[in-house]
Amino acid sequence: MRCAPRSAWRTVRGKLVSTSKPDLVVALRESLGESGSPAGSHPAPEELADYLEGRLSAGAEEEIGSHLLDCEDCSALLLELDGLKRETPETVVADFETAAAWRHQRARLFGDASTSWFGVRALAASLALVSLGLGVWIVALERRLERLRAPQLEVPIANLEPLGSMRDPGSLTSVAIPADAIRWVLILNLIEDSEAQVYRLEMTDSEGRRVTAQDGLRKSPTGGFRLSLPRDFVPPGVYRIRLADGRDDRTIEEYSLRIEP
Amino acid sequence: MTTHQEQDAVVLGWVRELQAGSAVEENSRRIFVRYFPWVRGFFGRRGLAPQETEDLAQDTLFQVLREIGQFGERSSLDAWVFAIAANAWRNELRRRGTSKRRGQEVSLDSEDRDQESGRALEVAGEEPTPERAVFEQQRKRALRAAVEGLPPQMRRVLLLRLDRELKYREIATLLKLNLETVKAHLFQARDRLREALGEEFGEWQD
Repeated sequence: MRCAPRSAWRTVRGKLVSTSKPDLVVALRESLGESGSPAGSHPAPEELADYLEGRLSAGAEEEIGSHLLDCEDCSALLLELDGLKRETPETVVADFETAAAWRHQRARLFGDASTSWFGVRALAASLALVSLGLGVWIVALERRLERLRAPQLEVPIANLEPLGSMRDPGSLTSVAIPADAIRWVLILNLIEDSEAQVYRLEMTDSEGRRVTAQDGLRKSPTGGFRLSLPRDFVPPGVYRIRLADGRDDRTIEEYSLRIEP
Repeated sequence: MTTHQEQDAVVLGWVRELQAGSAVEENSRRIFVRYFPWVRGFFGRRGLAPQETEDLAQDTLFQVLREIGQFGERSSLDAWVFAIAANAWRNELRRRGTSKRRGQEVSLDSEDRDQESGRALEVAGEEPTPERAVFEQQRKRALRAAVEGLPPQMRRVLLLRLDRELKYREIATLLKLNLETVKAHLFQARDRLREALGEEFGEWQD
C-alpha cells in the first residue's frame, strides 16, 4: 500500500490534509507508543520461536509483538522461521551440494578416515611405511638375484642311493650346507630300470609330515635325477624322500637324508 | 506431496531413533539433508560471503546433531534448529562488532527525499511563516486524531505495511493474524482515514 505523495500542506474543504507517508508513519508510531527503534534487549531466538508457536503467556506475547513493531532484525528472524515451517520437502534425497556438505559434516561428526585431516595423515603415514618396506624388500631381492647369478664354488652335493640297495637301510647320508652356500645339489640314483615317463618326488620330515612335493620330474640321460635346490629349500633335519611313478603314484624308490645345520 | 505436519512427524521419528542410538549415521544424514538448504539460505540472506555462509551452516548443523540429545520436544525441531542458527548469527555479529541493524532499512528521511524530490531539504531551508506554523500544528493534530480513531490492531497492520512495506502474509505472521484480517484492516483503514481527512488524503495503491 502506498500513499501517493502530493503537495505537503494544503487545505481541502477547510480540513488540513497530508499525503506524506512519513507523516502518517510517525502518527501511527506515536499513537501506538512505539519509538521506531527497539528499546531494551532483543528477545532470545527461543522466545521468538515460542511466540510464533504460541507457547507464551498473553503478557509475554504482547511484549514481543510490540518489540517486533520496532525491530526489523527480530521481525526478519521470525519470518525466517515461518518460512522454514512452510517448507514441505518431498524427500530426504540430497542435491549435489548438500551431499558434498554432508560428506564434510560426516567426517567432522564421525571422524571418517577417508576424508578427515587426521585420516588423511594416517593414510599418508601408512603408505610411506609400506613404500619404505617395499623398497627394502626390493633391494634385498636384487642382492639375492645377484648372488644367484654369480657362479658358486664347491656346491654341496647329497648323492643318495635307494634304501633298498644299501647294506644298512637305517644309515643316513648327510649333507652340510655352508652358511655362504646359495644352492645345493640332490642326486637320486635309481637301481631299477623304471619305465615311468614322469616321476613324483615327495619329501617328509622325521615325523612323517610332508614338507614338499614335486611333480613332472624326468630322468636325466644318465638314469638318475639331479636337482639343484636353493639353500632354504628345506630347513636342517632328517628327511625321507619317496620317488613315485607320476601317473599312478606307485613308489619306485625311497631315500633318507640328513641336512646338517 | 507431504504436509508439513507429516514431515514434522517423520523428522521427529529420526530424532527419537538418533537419541536412542539407532542408525546414528543415517538419521544424522537425514536431519542434515532436511535442514542444510534452509540453514545455508538463512545465513546467505544475511549478506555473508559464500564461504562464511557454508562455514556457519556447517557449524550450526554440527551443533544441532551434537546436541540432539538435549532436544526435549518442548518446541518443534524447526524452532530448535532456528534458535541455534539465529544464536549463531547473533554471535557472529558480536564477534564482528558490527551493528545488528542490517538489510534494507526504511529511512523516513531518505524516503521523503526520494519520493518528494528533495522536498524535505527544501522545506527545511524555508523560513516557516507564522501562518504556516499554525497550519502545521493543525495538520498534525488532525492526522493524529484520525489515526487514533483506528483500532490498535489496525494501526499496527498499517504501520508494518507503510513503514516496512511487508507483504500481507508477513504482517499476518508477525502479528499472529489471519491473512484475511490483515487485508480487511488495510481496506478499512484506508476508508476511515479518507473519511476523516478528506478525499484527497491520498491515493492508495495496493
